[in-house]
Amino acid sequence: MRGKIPWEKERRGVYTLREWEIDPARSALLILDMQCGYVESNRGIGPVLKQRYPEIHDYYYGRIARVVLPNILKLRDFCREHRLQVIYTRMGLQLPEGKDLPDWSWRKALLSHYGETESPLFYRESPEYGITGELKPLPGELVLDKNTMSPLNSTALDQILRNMGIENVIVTGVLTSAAVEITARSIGDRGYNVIVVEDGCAAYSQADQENSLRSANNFVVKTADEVVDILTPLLRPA
Amino acid sequence: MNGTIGWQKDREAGPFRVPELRIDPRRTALLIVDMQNKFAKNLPGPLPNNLRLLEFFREHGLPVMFCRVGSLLPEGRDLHVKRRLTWLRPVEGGAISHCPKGCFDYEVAETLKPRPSEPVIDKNSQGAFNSSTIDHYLRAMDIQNIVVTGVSTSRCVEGTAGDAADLGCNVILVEDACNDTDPDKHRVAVATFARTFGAVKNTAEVIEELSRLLAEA
Repeated sequence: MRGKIPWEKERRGVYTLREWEIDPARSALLILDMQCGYVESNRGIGPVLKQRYPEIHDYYYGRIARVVLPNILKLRDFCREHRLQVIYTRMGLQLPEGKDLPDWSWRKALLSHYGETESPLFYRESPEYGITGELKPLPGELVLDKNTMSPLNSTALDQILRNMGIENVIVTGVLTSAAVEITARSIGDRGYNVIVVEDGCAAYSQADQENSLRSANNFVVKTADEVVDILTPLLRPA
Repeated sequence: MNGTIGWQKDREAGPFRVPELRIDPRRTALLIVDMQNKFAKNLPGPLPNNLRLLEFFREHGLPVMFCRVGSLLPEGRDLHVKRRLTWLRPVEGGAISHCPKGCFDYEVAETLKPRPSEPVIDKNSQGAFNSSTIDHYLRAMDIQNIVVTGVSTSRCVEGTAGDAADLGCNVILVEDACNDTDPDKHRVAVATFARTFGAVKNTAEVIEELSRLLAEA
């Protein structure tokens, strides 16, 4: 059932869309890069962060375990219950040694600078590349593989959303200052209604998290509970 | 010939940063984002630095590209519905915050007037990659590195620079050649870009480092 939901918070000097009418059935949950190598503290980048940046390690993995995972699970269960599409992405090298990256790119430089064991980029056949156990996708849930931060830059996400008639995208995952921000910004820039779930995503520091969400363009920011509260009455059968 | 340029070494030390990069300076383009009459008069700050960079790139025969933002059709029918509502909405004083292609406000500021050989890319979104063929230009022109300037930092500049970096280009955001209506948003956009996407430098650094690399090449 179409209905109005609270949209932007008041912005000074700019016209504000305080409410927005949506069709809740046309919503999808996007879960970005919740892969073993990025969200399990004892694997992937975990040991590197622990050794070199213990503060970041504790903040980041603490937030994933206490805040982000429970909220994504809550939203995923909600979406499954209401038959809303769940879409996962996985980021990494699609070919060994990153042959699928431009030879001169900064990302390739990152790979050579940190070496195979410390790099934050994982080859798709490596165990770190898989989605973390608690979020294991069901058959019928879409999993998109990408070698960029934004799925718009290396997957058919835009086409797929249009084919499925999706108008509203709820964005969660890691990192807020990377994949989450660029994805939300770009999808919103193309006209979708985008909600970033502030307690469903994490960055390496509270400052990074706030900076990314403060420069918010083309998307609105809400909590997981707010998303559930807003959508529930609209999804209830008339 | 490739040379080494400092990349993310001086900025907020953090995990997974690229301290320096080997680049071919001759494959570097200047991308001036949305320095149109409409914005240039409201955000005059970056104009002199944009001009300095433009002169430097032209002098060295390096490619220059421009973006312009606005609706492509007079009534804004090409805009997505939320943007159409926001942009066509009367603002204070009764004027309409809307400059479709063809009106004076839509043109690139006279001081920076593009030459016929310099691509001017029209877009009706903030990020150029979301509504234009900019990617084709970058590939066809064999561009490896992009120096990005313009307005506004947290919107069209970061939107465009972030996607360029995500697609594999080495992107330098020129801090003092960008501006935002909100200084706080300028600051957070620059911080996010430096953290994740590429290098942040000022105009003098870009000119100095590219001069050195070009001389070595």
